Amino acid sequence: MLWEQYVFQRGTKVQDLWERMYRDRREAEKPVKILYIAGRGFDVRANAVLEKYVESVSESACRIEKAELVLVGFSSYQLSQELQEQTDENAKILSSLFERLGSTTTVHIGANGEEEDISAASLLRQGNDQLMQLISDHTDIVLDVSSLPRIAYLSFMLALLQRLVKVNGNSYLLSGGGVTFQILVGEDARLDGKIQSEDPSNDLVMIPGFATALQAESMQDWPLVWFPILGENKNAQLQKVMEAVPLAAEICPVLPHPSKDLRRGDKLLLEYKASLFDSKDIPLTNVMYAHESHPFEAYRQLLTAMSRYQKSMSLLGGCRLVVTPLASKLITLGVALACFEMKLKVANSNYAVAIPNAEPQRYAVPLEELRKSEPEISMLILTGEPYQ
Amino acid sequence: MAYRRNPFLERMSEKTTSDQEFVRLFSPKILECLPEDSFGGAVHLFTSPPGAGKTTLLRAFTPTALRAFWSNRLVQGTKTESFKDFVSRGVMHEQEGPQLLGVLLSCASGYADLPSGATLAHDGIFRALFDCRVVLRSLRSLAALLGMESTVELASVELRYEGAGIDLKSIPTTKSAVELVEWAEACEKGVYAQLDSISDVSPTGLPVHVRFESVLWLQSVRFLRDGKEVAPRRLLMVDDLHKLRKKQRAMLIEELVELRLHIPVWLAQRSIALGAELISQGARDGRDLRHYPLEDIWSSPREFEHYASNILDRRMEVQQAVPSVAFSAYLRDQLSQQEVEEYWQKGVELANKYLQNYRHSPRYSEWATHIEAHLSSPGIESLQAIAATQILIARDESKRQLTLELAPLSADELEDRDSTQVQRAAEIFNHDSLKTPYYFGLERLCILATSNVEELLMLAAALYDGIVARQVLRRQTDIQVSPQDQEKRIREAARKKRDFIPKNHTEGTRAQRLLDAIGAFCRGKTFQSNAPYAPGVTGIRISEIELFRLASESKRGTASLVTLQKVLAECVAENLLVARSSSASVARDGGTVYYLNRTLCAYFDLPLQYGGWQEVSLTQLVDWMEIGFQPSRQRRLGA
Repeated sequence: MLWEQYVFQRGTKVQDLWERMYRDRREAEKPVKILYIAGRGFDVRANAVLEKYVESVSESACRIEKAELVLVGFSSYQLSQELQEQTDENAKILSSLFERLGSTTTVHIGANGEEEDISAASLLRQGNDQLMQLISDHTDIVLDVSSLPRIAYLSFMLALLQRLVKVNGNSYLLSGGGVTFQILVGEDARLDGKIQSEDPSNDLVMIPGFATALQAESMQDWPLVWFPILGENKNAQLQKVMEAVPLAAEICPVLPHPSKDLRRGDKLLLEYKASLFDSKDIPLTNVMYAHESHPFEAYRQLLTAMSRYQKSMSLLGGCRLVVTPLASKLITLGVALACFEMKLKVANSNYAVAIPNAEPQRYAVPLEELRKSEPEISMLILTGEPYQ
Repeated sequence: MAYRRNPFLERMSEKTTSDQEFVRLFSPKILECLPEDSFGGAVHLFTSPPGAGKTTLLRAFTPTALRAFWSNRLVQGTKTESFKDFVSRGVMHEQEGPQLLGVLLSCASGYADLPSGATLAHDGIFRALFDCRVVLRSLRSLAALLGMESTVELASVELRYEGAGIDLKSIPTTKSAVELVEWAEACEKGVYAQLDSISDVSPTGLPVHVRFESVLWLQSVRFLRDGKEVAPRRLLMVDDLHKLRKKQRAMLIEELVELRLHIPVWLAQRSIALGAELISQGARDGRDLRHYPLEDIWSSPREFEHYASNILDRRMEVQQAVPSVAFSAYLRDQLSQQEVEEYWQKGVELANKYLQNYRHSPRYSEWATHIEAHLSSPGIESLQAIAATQILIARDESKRQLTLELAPLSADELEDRDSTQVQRAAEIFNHDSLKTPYYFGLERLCILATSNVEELLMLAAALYDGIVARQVLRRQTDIQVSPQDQEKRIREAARKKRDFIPKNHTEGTRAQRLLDAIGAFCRGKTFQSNAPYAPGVTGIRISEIELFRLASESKRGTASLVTLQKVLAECVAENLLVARSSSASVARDGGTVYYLNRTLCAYFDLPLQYGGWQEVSLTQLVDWMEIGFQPSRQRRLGA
C-alpha cells in the first residue's frame, strides 16, 4: 500500500501540526512557496478552513517566498440569487484572508460559448490543465475541498497525485519531489444534511483518467465489480449510475460505519432498500463498512477489496472495477486514493478502474443554515516531507 | 433471472436481464407495428422519451437474443409469435435459424468526451473510434451468432470483401477475423491510452479516419465458415445517439445518409436530442433518413392496450408470489354492493340538497323528477346520471341568462342533450365530489401509461404490491384488488412521479412548477358546474404565432423565453407533456396542444381523455414557470 503509513489529523491537532511543520521550515531556513486551491462557492466552511491555515502559517513566522490562492469557479451550476451573492461574498472574504500571505487568482471552469455542449469530463480535463500550469516550484500545495463539488475535487486531487507521485522502478515515491501536498476538509455533517443537490445530469460524468473501464468496447465482456459508496439523499444519482451497471455485475455497497449516528448504516440500508438492494438482489454479505471520518481506513478497505477482486477475476481474463462515491468528503477522499493506487498498476494488467458520477445541476440551502456552520477541520498529507 | 420481488420493477434494457429472460418478457406486438421499410437500406431514426422501448426493440435483433428466440421458438409444439414475425421479415430461417447479424453499439461510451473543436483531426478521431468499435462489435456479434464461446474461435471464419469493401483505407482488409479483432482492440486501446487522461488531450498522434468506413466494411464483408456463407443479412443499430455532442450527432447522421447504404442502419435517441424542434410538430423525414417517433407507432389506444397487456402478462408469468394468470384478472373493474353503499349515501345527501332549489322550478321540474327517480335505484350508474343531469341544468341556466323562457324541459330534451362527453364529465365530477374511484381497471391503466412502457411498469409495480398483499392476507377470499385500492396505489405512484421531477430533470424545479400550474389551470376549467369542455381540460395550447415568437425571442436571448423553451422541450422529451398538432380553423390559427402526461392527470384528479384544451399565452406560461399558478374564482358544481 502506498499510504501504509500516513498523516491524518482532525480538529485542533491540525493547527498544531501546521505550526510544527512550518516552524521546522523556519528553523531549517527553508523557504515556503504555497499554492492554495479552494472553491469559489457558496459554502462558508472554506472561509473557516483558510482562516485557520493562514493563522497557523503566520504564527509560525516561516519565510514565505511566494503564496498564491487559486479560487476555482464553476459557471454551470444553478444557484439562487442568494447563494450567488453568498458566493461573491465568500470570494471577497477568502481573498482578504489570504492577503497576509499572498495574492489571489480566479480560474473559471465552464462552457465558453462556442461549443455549448462540451462534456463535463472535457471541462474537468481543461480545469486540471489550468491548475497544472499554475504549479511551478511550489513547496506546498494545499487543496481545500470544503467548497468544491465532488467531481472537481476528485479530478484535481487525482491530477495532482499523478503529477507528484513518481515511479521508482517497481515502486512509487511519495516524496513528491519535495512538494508537500495537503488536502483540507471542513466537515459539518449537520450542514451537509441541509444542502439539497437536485436535477442530476442525464449524462454520467467520468472522472478524467478513470473512464476506460466503462467506455472501452474491448473491455465490455470483462466482469464488473461496482462499489457504490452510499450517502444520504443520493437515490436519483445512484439510479443514473446503475443504468450503466450490467446484470451480472458484482455489487458491493459501502456503508459508513463506525459513524457518529449509530443508526446511520441502518438508515441508509432502508433508504436504498428498494432501489438498490431489492432490485439488484444484493446479499447483505456483500456490504462493506468504512469509517465515516477516517479516509485512510476507507482507502485500505476499498483497496484491499479491489485488489482481491482483481486477483480472482484475472482468471476470467480481466475485470472492471467501478467506484461511485456518494458519501461524505472524507470517505470520498479515501476512495479516490484507492482508485489512484489501483490505476497506477493498471498498465500491462487486465483490469481497469472507473469513477462515474451523476452530477447535480443545482444546489439549494437556506442561508441561515450556512452561516450557523462550525466546521471541524481534517487534514491529510499525501506527499512531501513526512514521506521522505 | 435472479430472484426479484416485484417483476415490474425491472427494466428490460441491454444490461439488466439475461437473454432467456428477455425472450420471455419481450412482447412481439411491437414488431407487428414496425414500418415495412425499416429493414430497407437507409438510415432509420427512432426517437421517443425514455422508457418507450427503443433499446428493448434494438436488443431483440442482437445475436444472443435471436439465438434465444430461436431456441424458444416452439411452445408446446406451437411456433411463438416472435418467431413467426422474425421469419416473415427474413431475420430468421425456419430451419437454419438466425440469418441477421445485428450489431448494437451505444453512444454512451465516451464519444462526447473526445477533444472538442471544429477541426478535421477532431472529427477524424470520432470516426476512428466509432469505426474500430463497429468492427469489434460486429465480429463479437458474429461469434455470438455462431454460438462461439469467444472471438478466438473466429479462426474458422474467413472474411472476403467485395464492392466498396475492397477500397477501404483505414480498416485492414485481412481475411482473418481474429487478426481484425486484434486490430480493432489495439486501435481502441491506443486511442484510450491517450484519451483517458487526467489532462486535456491533443489530437496529434491519434488515428484519424476521413469517413465512417466501418459501415461500408459491414455492408460489403462476407463471412465464410467452412466455405459456406453465414450471417448474410446485416443490421447496424446505434443506440443513445442523444449522448453525442450536437455536432457529432449531426455529422454521424449526415455522413451515414450520404453513404447511400444498402444495409439498414437504425439510430435510436431520446426525444430530448431534438431540442426545440420538439416544441412544434413538423415533418422530419427525408428521402434517405426515415424518422419514427415510437410514441406514434400505435395506430390506436386499443393497439397499445394489447401490447401493454401482453407485457404485463409475460411479467406475471415470471413471478411466483401469486398464481400466474393474466394481470387483468387481478384488477377488479366493478364496485361491490357494499362499496357502492358508502358513496351512495353521500350522493343522496348532496342530491337532495341540490333538489331543494330545483324540485319546484317550473323549467326543471321534470329533470328534477328524473333525478329523484334515480335516487330510488342505488348504484354508480344512478349517481352518474344524477351528475349528468346537474351538468345539463347548469348548461341550460348559463345559456338562459338573457331570456325569460319558463317552459318546462322534458325528459326527451334531457336525453337529447345528453352525450358520451357529458357522461364522462359526470363520472369525473363524481370522482371529485363523492370520491368514487376513477383510476382503476386495465383499460385506464394502459391510458395512464401515456404510450410508455416504463410508465406502465411503474404503475403495474405499484398494483402488483397490492396483489401480493392480498395474497399474503390469506383470509381474503377475493384475489382481486378493489377499485379503491387500485386508485390509491396509482395516485401514490403519480405523486412519486410528480415529486421526483426536480430530482430527475435539468430544469426539474421549473418544470414541476409549470406542470403544477397547468394541472391547477386544467382543474379550474374542468370542474366548472356546466362542464363547458366536457369531459375536461387536460392540456394547454400555444398558437403558431406564439410558438414562432418563442423561437425567435429565444434566438435573441430573451432569458425568460430561452428558459421556457428549454423547460417545454424537456417536458415533451421526458413525456411529461405530450405534444399534438392542432390545425387552424375559422376561429383560430394552428398551433400545438401540450397534454399533461396521463399519470400526472391522476395526480391532479383530471379525466384521462384527450381532446380538451385551453389556449394560453407565453406570458402566462413564463409566470407559471417562475411563480406558479394564481387561481381566479370559478363557479363549481355544488358550490
